Amino acid sequence: MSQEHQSNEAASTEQGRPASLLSRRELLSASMLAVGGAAIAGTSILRIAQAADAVAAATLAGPDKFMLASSRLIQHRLSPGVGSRMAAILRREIPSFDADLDAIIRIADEKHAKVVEEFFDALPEGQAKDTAHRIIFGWYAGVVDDSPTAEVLAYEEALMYQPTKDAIALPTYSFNGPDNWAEIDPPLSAMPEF
Amino acid sequence: MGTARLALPSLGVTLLVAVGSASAFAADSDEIARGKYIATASDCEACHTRSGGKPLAGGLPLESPLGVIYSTNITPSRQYGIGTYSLQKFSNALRAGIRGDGAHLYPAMPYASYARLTDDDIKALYAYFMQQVQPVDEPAAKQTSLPFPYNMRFSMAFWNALFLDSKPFAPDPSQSAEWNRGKYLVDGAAHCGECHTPRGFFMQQKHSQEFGGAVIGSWYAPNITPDANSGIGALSADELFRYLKFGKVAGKAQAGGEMALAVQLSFSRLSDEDLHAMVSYLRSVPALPDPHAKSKFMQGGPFSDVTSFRGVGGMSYDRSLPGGAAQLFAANCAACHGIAARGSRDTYFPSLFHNSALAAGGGRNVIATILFGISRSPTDGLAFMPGFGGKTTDIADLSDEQVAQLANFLLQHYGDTRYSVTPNLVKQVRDGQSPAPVLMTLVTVGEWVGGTLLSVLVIWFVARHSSRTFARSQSS
Amino acid sequence: MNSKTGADGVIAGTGIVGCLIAEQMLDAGLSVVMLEAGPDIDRGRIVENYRNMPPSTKFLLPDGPFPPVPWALHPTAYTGNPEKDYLITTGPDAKAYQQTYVRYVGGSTWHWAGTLWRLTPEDMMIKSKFGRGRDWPFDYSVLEPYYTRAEDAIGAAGPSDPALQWPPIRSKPYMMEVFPYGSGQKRCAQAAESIGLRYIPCAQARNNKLAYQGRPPCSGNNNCQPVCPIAAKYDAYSSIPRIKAKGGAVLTNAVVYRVETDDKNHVQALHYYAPDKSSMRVTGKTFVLACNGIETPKVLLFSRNDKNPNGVANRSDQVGRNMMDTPKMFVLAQFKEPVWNGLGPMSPGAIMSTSQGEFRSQYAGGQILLVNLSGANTAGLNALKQKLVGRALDEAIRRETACGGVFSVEHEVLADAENRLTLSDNKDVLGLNKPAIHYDVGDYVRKGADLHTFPITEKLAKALGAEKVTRVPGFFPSQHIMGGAIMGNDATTSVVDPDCRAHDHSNLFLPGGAAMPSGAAGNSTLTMAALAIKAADAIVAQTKRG
Repeated sequence: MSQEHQSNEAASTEQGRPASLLSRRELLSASMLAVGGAAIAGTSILRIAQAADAVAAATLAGPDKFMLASSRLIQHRLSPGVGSRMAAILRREIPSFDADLDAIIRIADEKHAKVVEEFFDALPEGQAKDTAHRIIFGWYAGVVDDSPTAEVLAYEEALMYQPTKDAIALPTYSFNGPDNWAEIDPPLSAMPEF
Repeated sequence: MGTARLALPSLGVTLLVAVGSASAFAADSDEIARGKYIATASDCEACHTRSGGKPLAGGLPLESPLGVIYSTNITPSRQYGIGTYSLQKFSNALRAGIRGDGAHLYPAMPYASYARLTDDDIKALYAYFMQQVQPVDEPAAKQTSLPFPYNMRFSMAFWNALFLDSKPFAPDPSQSAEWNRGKYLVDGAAHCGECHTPRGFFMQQKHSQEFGGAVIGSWYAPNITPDANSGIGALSADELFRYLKFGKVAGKAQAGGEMALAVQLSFSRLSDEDLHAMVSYLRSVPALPDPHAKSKFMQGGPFSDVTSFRGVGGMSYDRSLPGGAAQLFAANCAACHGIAARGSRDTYFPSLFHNSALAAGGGRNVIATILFGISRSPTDGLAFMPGFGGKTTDIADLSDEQVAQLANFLLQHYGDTRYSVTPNLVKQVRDGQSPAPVLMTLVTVGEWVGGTLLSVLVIWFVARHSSRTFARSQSS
Repeated sequence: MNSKTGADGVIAGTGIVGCLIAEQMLDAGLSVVMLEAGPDIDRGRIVENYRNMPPSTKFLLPDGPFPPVPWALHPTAYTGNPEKDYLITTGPDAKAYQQTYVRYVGGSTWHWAGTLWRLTPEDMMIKSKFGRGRDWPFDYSVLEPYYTRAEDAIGAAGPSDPALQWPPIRSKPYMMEVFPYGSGQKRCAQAAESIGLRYIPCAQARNNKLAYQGRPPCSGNNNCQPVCPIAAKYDAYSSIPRIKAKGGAVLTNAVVYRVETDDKNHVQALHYYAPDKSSMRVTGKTFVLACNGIETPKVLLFSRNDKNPNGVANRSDQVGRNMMDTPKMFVLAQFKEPVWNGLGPMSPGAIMSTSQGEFRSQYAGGQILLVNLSGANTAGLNALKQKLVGRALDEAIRRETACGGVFSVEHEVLADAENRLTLSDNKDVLGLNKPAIHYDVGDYVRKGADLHTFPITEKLAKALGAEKVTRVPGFFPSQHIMGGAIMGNDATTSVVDPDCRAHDHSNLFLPGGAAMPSGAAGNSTLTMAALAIKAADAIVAQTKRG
């Protein structure tokens, strides 16, 4: 969804030409060697194949229990990188962690739940439910608890900023180009997809 | 008033003989306006107006591999500019590279391209310069003085004899009027080849590889032939038109460096018809493929490695970033370009993937953009990116190593993965140094050899002389 | 090496005041050494620090992204434990002086909002007009040209319509256009109009449509406080490369602890500690303490010697007294319909007319603004605390973010000698006393909030569609630190003269917030910058005279 950049009056940059253009049209002598050589000289680089938009958990290959349980609790895209960091911390802090994950997955399956509302109330009070809440907290807040010294796992990927990403900036990140915020006013009902 | 043309083949000078007085001839306001338009198309302002200086008064330094060349005062000042130029002298300067005092101009002045301007256009330009441009009665801030042997301007006569095609443009009757107009502008006033065509041993344009892309100082002027992968073939005519008019094609390309200025001062002010004509011509020139290239508009994809370093190390007053290149990106670039480099929703901040700037020229433009930023003001407002190269107007001070690290990160994930850059290249780009032309190396070597020989001769002579003296003194 | 000699100007502090003076001195051909207590940290690191903060701390620790170095502490969390805290505050409004500031190269303009209110003519004469507080020793017409030069020095975007200017008494238009309101501010402005008040756009030190000084135009990253990630907002750090290029020397991790005077009571040198507690002595012709309104009085008090038993520059016994700020009241609101705060700069507008009027003889006026801060952080944590899941969680977050708002109301406080900074008995790692401040906003402010600003704010919130309005009890700091080296013509009751020159030492200048005799209800930085330039004129003239 790209908006046409709003028309601004033409403006000149302050203080003459900016630094980027101080060196000018140049006489040069690059021969084909210089042109092609740069391209050929590049070494081959392995591509790191991790994307921020993680795979939908429902189609996860492999027995990653934490991602499976998380995807039952949260029907949004979940980043495997964040998941693995969070699982490591929670596993340390919660003795019953693995059992709780099993319980969450089992009860969700028993209820044939497609969304969390279809099974969450059926979770037994106590460890399983507490762990479920902690998992949800972790994905949404990007930390596993709200203490001032909690280890931060996510900010850009923290889900609690996603429900309003169509309307306001994630602090430190621009929403649009300069001056292009006056017309942003979506209705409450327009929940973004994430 | 009529003109007659005499071609002098040996020097390629086209003589314009005006019937009537050469200086004050009355031009009507239409002709002056036309002259101004042609001056805009020729982008005189870009080189002949220095930062903070008066229009067309010269003094702008142009880094060349042979030394710094300063542009001249081309206002109609009689003492310091071209105020005493006749139409003939004006034409000679523009089309033959010969100044009013008879000395040769360096081809930093693209007279090799302007040679194609028609007589009528030259006259209109003359009218504009003499009658509308404000005279600036000050010398240009600095004068060119290249080191020996490049200061021997007369040597340009030989260069011109070899490489200057002195004929004004002649339309091709088998092509449309639009195509011809486009070729006239591209080859002439807009002098695209001066940047986009690679150069040969003597730094002449290599016409067999016309518009195939070339390094020009800190930047790389890309392949603008219609090749689908390495050229502009994948862009539609309308996208190309918009590129020239507004300086960008959302999601694909944007003008930086010299081209940003060319868009701002020249292309964005030309008529839509002329822009369409140039596009139409460019899309017809021979395509020059790079056999190893994939489409430069399709490289890379959204990518973020933020998970690996978010929260790591907490809050620190240590400047170093534990997350390496990915965190350098987050700290310096992502605020505008997005953590996965998607750019802003309204495309004001471009995405970095599918962005041809990261897929041509070996990564040179990535480095230049990081160091110098982008600034252009075509008709739809200021497009601006700050520099990160440590100048007083930059907002950060990245070292050569950091820029190389960041550039390689960008190229790996969002650009052409064949490219990798070094801190040394960053330093070159910072200094505006093009790779040293072979010619220059040869001359430098020649100087050293000559100098050494000369020293050896002098030492031998002195030694002989003093040994004789010694022998004499011994014998007395 | 343990001494540096001979600079024309020795300036302690690399915040906006120090940097404006340094650059003006350098432009006049004088030599300058700057001493900064803290380190040189780059913008990218600070931005990453912010992103690394646990979300629950973002409201409580506004300076979380600026972890202090042990030898140059600045306040972070206030635990109430004097061993742990740096600034110790006491008194009925101790909470209202729990200031935060930044001791890094660039100073506190790293984290300021960029708001550029000027004082009005009446703000400078509240004693004459209303019988309260102190008058400035000169009037607005004297300060106005300095306001203009300050705006030019940092880049100001503001309204061209005099009806929207504050005050509409300007010798030059703003160099950059006013910023457009986002949705929340637009609604707030309409609501204000419906109750007969004007919500005016505030002038901002933020680039708009121009790349002034090579810094990009604002693109609404909504993070002005604590740090602008792209340098669209002016911060003094951005002037440091120019200062260095012009020949200024900037020494970091140099904690000034003593002003040395001679037998003529002339300042001879500043002494500073390096982190390893080795001491250096820096001589020069003219000395400037621009360390911020808390650190400057602290150093003066610490510098007491035989000739100056109460502290350097303190024959009046006013150093450290008259501590002022703009005591802040928070009013939280939940609206029926979306208001949407959080796009664009954080402080785009305010009602300023509520700070002016005859009532100032009785109680304080204030400025009222709807903070344009993204509420997603708070809304998210609240919804999670309620143990919501699934769609209900998402919808609660969206609703509370869209329909939540915070009004910030800043009041004028009067200069009171009992609001006082002293040296506490707690010491830092260098053995320097930590500062202690006693603070009482006074009945003047309490009445102003109760009778004047809160009722108006509540009315505004309801006009905006609030279904719930909550006044947070008490007052909070605004980081507009003023008064500790107060200006006046009478050397017995003030510390500095109209050029911010210490009455007691003709070659010592104390420009900045500490010099302001009154602060009114607006943000103080532009006035500080104007005073810096006024002082710089005097400094350059007298230093050149020799």
